Amino acid sequence: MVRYLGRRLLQAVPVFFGATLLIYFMVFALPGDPVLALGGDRGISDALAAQLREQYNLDKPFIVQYLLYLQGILTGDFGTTFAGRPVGELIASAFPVTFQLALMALAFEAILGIGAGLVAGLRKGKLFDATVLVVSLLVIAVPTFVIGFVLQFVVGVRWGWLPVTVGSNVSFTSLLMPAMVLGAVSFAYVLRLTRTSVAENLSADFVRTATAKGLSRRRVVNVHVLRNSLIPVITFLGADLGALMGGAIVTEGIFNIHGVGGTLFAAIRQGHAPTVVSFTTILVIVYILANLLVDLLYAALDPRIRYDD
Amino acid sequence: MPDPLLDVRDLHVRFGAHRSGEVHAVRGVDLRMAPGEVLGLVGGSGAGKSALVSAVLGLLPHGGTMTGSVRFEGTELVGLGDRAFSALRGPGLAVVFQDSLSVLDPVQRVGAQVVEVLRLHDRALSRAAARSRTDELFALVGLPSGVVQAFAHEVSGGMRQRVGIALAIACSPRLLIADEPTSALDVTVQAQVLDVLDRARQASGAGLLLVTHDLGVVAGWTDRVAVMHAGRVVEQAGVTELFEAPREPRTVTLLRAAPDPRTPRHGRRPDPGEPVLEVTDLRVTHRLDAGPRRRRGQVVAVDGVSLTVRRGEVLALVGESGAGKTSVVEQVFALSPPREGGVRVLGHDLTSADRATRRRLRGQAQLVVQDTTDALDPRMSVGSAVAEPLAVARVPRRERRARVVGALEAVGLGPGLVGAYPHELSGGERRRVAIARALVVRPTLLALDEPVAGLDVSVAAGLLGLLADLRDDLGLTCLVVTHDLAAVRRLADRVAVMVGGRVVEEASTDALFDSPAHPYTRALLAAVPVPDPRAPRPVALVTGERLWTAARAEGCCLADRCPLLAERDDERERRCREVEPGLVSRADRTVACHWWDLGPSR
Repeated sequence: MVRYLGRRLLQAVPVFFGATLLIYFMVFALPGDPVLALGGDRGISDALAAQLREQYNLDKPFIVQYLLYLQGILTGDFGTTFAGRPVGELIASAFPVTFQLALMALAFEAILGIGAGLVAGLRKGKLFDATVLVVSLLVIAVPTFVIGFVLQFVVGVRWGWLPVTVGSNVSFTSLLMPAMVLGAVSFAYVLRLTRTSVAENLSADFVRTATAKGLSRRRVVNVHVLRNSLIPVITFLGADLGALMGGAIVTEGIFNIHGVGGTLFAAIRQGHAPTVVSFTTILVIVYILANLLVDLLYAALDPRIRYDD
Repeated sequence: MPDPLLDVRDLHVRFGAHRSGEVHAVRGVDLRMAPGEVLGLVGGSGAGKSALVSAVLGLLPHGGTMTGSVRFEGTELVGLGDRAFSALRGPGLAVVFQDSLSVLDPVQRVGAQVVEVLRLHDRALSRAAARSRTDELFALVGLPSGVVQAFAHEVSGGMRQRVGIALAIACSPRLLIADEPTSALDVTVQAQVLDVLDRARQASGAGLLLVTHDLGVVAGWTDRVAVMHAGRVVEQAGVTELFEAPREPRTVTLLRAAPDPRTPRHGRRPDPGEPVLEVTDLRVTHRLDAGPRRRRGQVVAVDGVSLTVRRGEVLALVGESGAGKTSVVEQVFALSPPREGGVRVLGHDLTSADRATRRRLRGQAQLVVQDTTDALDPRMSVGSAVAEPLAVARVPRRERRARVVGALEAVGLGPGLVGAYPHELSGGERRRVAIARALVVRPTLLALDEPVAGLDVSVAAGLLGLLADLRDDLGLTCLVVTHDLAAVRRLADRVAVMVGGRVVEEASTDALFDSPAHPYTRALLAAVPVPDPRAPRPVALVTGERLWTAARAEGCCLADRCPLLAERDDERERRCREVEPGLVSRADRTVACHWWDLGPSR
């Protein structure tokens, strides 16, 4: 187990270097000159451009730029943006918000998705099941920004139950609506996955055995059906955490959240490699850790799975 | 007469599958059981046995309804509430299901599942007391104590069934229902499990309803028999009476279809021709990846097997599961060079055969695999599945249809099935299609892996008859792998018995059945149920099962479980454990046992 953990964490090291190198190269290869773009329509003097290029290492060959960047990271310096703000500061301001948003979305889709999926699976073919299936289909089919704007207008503007936007006011209540919008599509998938899994396990031989032992229906479901049904759902949720963090850009836009998505988008448009690379790399690491956590949970839920060490 | 334990009157079970109409599975059954009685319930598949059992247990699947009356110790079960029924299951009624990998919860330790039922029905029982009671139950059903901590996938089928019995008898039920408890098990394991079931029943004084399609099991283990056909009980009688003077035509048909390993096969034995398949000193090992307890290594599945099948001959390979029978067949029919040992097919050595030779051999050596449900592509019609090998063999397109129809005809299927899909066929028909697919290329050598396993008695009887006809008419050379000894007696000219990856005895079929020489062969034959209540009850002379072990046995592969062990002194026992017995041939018989010379044990 410890060996397995150690090996998995060691595997993260080459992934880290590979990811940074690849992303750095992609930003480098982007068309357009970031320094000239800074000047906008007014243009920029040659002297200032040269000075900026030197300051941001843009005059050096690609590999030197990359190595200098790595050196910075290893000494705790993530670089500075063109506006003179340290990238480290950006990270510190953007990630906590997005992380909180993603976790809330994950909790939302897990709790409601598994709950509704369980009930639907137990009452397969009944009214509740049919309703929930239609609703989940709608949620999957309607684009996120439509759900976002509709909720924002109805719940936020018309009824005034929840804050319309987040802005600098980051709190549980202000993030509640964005988290629901962000988790909506995954909620539908979790629901359908749980429903299928529960319905399938209900007719499994071991559930019949459990009933024949004289167990009450509640106990059969809680002890024997649920745990067996959660195995595929957990895999989906783990992989989803990474997607929620990186893919929040539309939701962050709608609710004016200063999170990872927005910052990353701006940095890509500016061609500012240190920001893009740092943000993406952190996302990659989150992804790796989430996957590791899923694999550990997986083996805890299902004894048939063994660590291969 | 005492109050009946179970009193079923005019019971009807219907399944209302929407659109496809209603299925009337049980049509007015009357059945009574006295306390402590052992009643056998027999019938072909579709007779309504399982529906009846599910109804009595209140476990009818979704969409099933029952009407009539089921009284258990005077309590009416039809219409009984969920809560009251749950309280009755366990201490009142308990069930042992047919073994399957998923009959126990896969994510909980098997011991915990027994503790669960104990504490559920006796709330005052402490966790520690429940654990020690579980240990007692496991000892009663003959499980090693370590199994308590195991998960279902870590133990063998026989052990899972013992756990199932422990679960069922945990609360000392008054009525024990066993639904095909040993259909998925080997004969030696079957005899052990049925004995455990019988012992457990006697210990608790419970009545036993034994549902099975195996008349040998009924003859050996029950007092009274009820025969079901098409949802009705057509005959009920004492077991001896039923076997000796059956009254209903259905019973007669059923009894006639029951395979009897004592009947010698009639018909000529072919003159052995030239060798078609020669296997010499074959070893097959499987790599073991981080299996249970993370042991890594390899399993020796086949450990130095030599076999010869001559033209026109049927050789049967028998032995318990895990003996390596299927591994031999898979290695041979892969037609790839074996890693250790030699295989010659139709005179071609596979170690040196080139691609073209192998391709040619593929048309001449055909294999019918064990699980024919999975062996047929569900999206391919019967006709195209049977025709496919012809395309590979470059048979002209216009000849194919006639060949396909011919092959289907040979296995007793009409040309009307050409357009059918596998899911529309019954188990027996699917198996026939798989055989037709193998026969269509007119092979010289045909291998059948468990051709009748899992089939209904009458269907199996039909298939065995067909195979016997094909053998005689086409002069096929066959290798049949099975653990069904009645089938062997009917089909095979010669038999090779395998244990632990080695062949321990090889002889002509009649010689082997009439005077088995190796202790394992004797044990195997003693465990075969015979459809005759006057015959001695099958016994398990060899106990235990071969488990996958990474280590290769040093001495005799049966050393730990040999029935002769008790008769031996220390010196001889040491020889069995340390020295591997070689194969000794004498008068058309080959045996690997140090003590063959000492003659059969008394």
